[in-house]
Amino acid sequence: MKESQSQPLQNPPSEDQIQPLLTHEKSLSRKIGQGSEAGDILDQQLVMLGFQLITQLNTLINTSKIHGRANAALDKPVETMLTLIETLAHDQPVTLWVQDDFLFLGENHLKVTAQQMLVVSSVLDALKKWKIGGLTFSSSVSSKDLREFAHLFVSLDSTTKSIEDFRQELVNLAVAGIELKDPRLLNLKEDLPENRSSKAQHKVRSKTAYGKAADAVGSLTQSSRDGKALSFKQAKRAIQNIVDLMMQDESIMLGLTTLRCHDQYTHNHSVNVSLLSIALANRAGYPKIELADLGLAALFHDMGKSTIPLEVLNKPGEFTEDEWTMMRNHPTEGVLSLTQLRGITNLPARMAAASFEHHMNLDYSGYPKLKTPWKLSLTGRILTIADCYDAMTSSRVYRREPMSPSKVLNMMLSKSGKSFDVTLLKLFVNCVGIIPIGSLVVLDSDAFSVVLKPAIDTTESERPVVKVIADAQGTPIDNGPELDLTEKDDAGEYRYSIIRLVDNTEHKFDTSRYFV
Amino acid sequence: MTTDLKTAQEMMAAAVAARTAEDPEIVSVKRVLKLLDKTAKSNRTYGSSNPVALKFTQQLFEELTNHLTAYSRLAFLVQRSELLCKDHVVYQTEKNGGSESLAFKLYADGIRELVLHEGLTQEELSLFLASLWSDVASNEDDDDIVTRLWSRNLSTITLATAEELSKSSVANDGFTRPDGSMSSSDSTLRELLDRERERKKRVKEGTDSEGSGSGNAKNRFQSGLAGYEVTEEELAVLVHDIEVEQKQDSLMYILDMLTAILASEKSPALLTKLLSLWGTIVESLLCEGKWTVLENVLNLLHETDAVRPDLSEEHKQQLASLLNGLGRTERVKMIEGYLNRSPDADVKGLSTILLLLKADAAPSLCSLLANVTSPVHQAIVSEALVTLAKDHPDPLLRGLSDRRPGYVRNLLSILIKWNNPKFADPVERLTRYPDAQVRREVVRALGLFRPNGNGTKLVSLSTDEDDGVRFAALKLLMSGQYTVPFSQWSPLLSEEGFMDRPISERRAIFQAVRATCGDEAVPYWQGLMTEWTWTNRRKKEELAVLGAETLGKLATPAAIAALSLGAKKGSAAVRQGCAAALSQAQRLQRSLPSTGATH
Repeated sequence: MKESQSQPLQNPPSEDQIQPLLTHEKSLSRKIGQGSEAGDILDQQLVMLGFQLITQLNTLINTSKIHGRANAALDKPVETMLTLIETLAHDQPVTLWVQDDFLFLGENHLKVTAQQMLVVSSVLDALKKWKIGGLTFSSSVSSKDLREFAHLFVSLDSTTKSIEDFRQELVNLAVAGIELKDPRLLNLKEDLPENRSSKAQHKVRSKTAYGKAADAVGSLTQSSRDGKALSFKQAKRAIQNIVDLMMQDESIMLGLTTLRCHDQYTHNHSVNVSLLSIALANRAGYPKIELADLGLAALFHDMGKSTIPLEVLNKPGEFTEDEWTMMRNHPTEGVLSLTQLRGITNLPARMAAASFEHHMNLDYSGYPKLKTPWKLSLTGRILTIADCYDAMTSSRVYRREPMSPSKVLNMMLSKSGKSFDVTLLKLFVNCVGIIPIGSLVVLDSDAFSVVLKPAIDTTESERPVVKVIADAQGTPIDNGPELDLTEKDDAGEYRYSIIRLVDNTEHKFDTSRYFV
Repeated sequence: MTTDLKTAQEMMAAAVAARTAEDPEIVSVKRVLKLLDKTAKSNRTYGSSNPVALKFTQQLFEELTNHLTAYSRLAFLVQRSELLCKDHVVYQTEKNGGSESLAFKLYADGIRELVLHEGLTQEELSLFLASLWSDVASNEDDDDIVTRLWSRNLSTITLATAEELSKSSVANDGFTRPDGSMSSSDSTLRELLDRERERKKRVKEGTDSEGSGSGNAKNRFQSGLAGYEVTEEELAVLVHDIEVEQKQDSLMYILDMLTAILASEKSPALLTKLLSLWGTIVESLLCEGKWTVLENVLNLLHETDAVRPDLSEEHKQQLASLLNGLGRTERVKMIEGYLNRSPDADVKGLSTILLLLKADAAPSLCSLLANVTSPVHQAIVSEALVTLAKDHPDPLLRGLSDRRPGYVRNLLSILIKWNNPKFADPVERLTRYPDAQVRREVVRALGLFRPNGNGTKLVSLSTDEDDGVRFAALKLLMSGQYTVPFSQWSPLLSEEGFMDRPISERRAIFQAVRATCGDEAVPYWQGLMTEWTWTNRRKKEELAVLGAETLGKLATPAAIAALSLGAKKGSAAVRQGCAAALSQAQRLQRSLPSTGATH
């Protein structure tokens, strides 16, 4: 404990040797080597970094019990922690939370394996003893901060001192990069606001599920690039969650597909296609469990793009012929990659079909072109519609300008029976609406509105539910009213009607803010 | 003051009473969870169809039903090593329970709350138990308890994960960076509204050709589309398609897809990848014992040259190397792994696959034969080796020195099927193999490979410790097809214990000696008949009688002379034996006047 005791540790704690720092994760090492930002790091990688952080924290605390704060034995855990924190807290401070017995890094739950339990238990018990609910590390944290913190952690008496005293000591020692959080407990499910059917909470849950699915795509795309085995656990959970949420309120989930993200186009496009496919398949009569299978398949329909260099995918100009060939190969490439990485006996047929057929078209006018007879699967027919709709309404696909949802739908309807299955397209139109979700419309009151969800009655398909975003004078309204255009007044006349569609893409206006 | 003390005492007494009389619901929960833990473990250890596991499951179902009838639900919170119900610890991980603990299992998958509701059926309970651990068919990396339970769609079991219960804001949700070309900002909205206002102004002034007026029903937007009615027939077709999709065999579907790609793909890079993938597929099918599917795949690959004459030389070589590499050691090892994992699995098609291997796979197949444990599998591999290694028997001959008797026996069976005299020498080397059954096979093989000639090796087997081996060797030697110098028999005949052998065996040995040595052995028997000794008199007399009997069967002039001598000089019993043998010899001589002797 004394400074004089500062001698190098002859035998570092064994948990320190459980995993060499980051070396088992090729892509992550590369990212960190290239000075990646936290935003690039996907959920699973975050979880892994989280465990590295916990392991090093445990080592630091245990070593501090024996050695003084300046001892060289603390060098390794301190340096490693600094590297980890620098990576994790690049944009904003990162918090390691303890809620009941569960560990979270930020909002990500850190799942614990039996092998990790020893270290995790040690950290959980240590934090609980102090009644600390979490530790926040900012990017400015220094070696001194970590050493002082660890020294206080083991030298102060948690039975006589409170967390407040601990905080005060940190202030006295000018430790600015570490913050102690009060304990917080997990809610009981019955106490959660979601259970009160709050639409806002449903939206929050939908967004979280969407984000998780996008992360899963990112993580698996990276695995595919690295040639690693593909595990679907994370994606499955996200999709199962999405199916549950979709069953409760389809429109909120579909509303999320209006968002267009530049950096994460491929991931978000994959999730959007998955959402649209689930919604369409639901209307086609898929059982719930099958919906999740289809959603999972749809999530990875573009896996073949993982072999296309990012500079080609993100190329600002037109593609060269070679680049087009590469793009046209991605359905086949996807099948080959998925089969390779999952093993043929472990790959769901729907997933192979989703990748292989989503550009094939009903009349086989698309690609890949086959020399042998091939029957387009139902999955393929659904994916073709969902993929085309999302791709065309996005600005990121093949350098085209985005088209408004209604224009895209009109274009698709013109190809009904050729590129698209007639029945499925009809169901799809009913699903997103003749005036699709996210469309900008002008009402007969001159108010500007965004379409939130289609009318339930298909005979009133031009009367969706809309949200008013600007009044007749053109003044924007925050949180404007939601209007059901099928509603009639006492005289039996419709209260509001759409008089015109506005092409929001012409104005470069993104309507996703009203859904997200 | 007195009142306060009294109140305090009463409160304390009440608290103690409350503690001792535990809430019956908690008692019930504890009982059910203890049983649940026991049942889950027995299901995992012995399989759910094991009688012990079934008994526990039934008991659990009854206890659980009783609890749910009384309290309508069983809910608990999960901690890393405990389960809690109403702030009481209702389950605790046993010391060293580790990952097998029910609490940890749920905790590790992030489950915070689990509720079992009234109405839970026995089938649902079984599905719940099955969800706690992954079954053999499912991939551990793809599923956890949460996903498995979801897939089972059980209405009477609900759970909540720590993640959904945590006070999450929505950070890192993938919504952070909108498309650079589009904006949802107020200023963009403002611009849009301004431009729309301008447009409206132009309309009013009559300068906008599109035109539209507010509040006018005639100007209402009309897409001309009235929404889409999907007919019952159309929906029925879709439902049918869904059913077809559900029932389709995933493996066959993907194989069809890859076949279509193989027949159609033009991109050299994709073809290279595809041909390399076929190698992986072959290995997957080998690993999982899908022999008939593999047979189809191999047939398809064999036909690729005809279907794709346009393949480049490089791709043709890739294909050839794939087909030639089927018998690679690591691939044959995959077969071995599957067969030993699944001793009772269907082996239809396995023979065909093995017969598709090239002769150079013989060493690997020998290793396979040595390592597979099921006799059925051994028989299949043996059959394949009979065909494949016929012209390249070296690996089998090398295998004869293996220490595993079962393997060596199988090899000997193959050699016996080939029935080639050139294998006699290597087989002869096994006469001292530790396993008696192997030695019996060796005798059988030697009888086949070397049906006549020098029988010296067989003589050495006639001293074998195993009865079966000895008699089999003697039987061959008695056949009259072998010759053996008497000097080879001498050690056996003169050994101390020879006289202690059963009479039947001694008789057989004498007959073998007769058949292999003929007259060369006559002096030995003559000696027995005329010998006069005080030690072991009875036994020696017995042996001399046996000798006389043998000489009677030999019936050569030398034998008859010896018998005549014995009939004069022997003991009473010997004389009697010689007389009987002489008459037999004379009968034999009469019946075989031209041959002169009976070997």
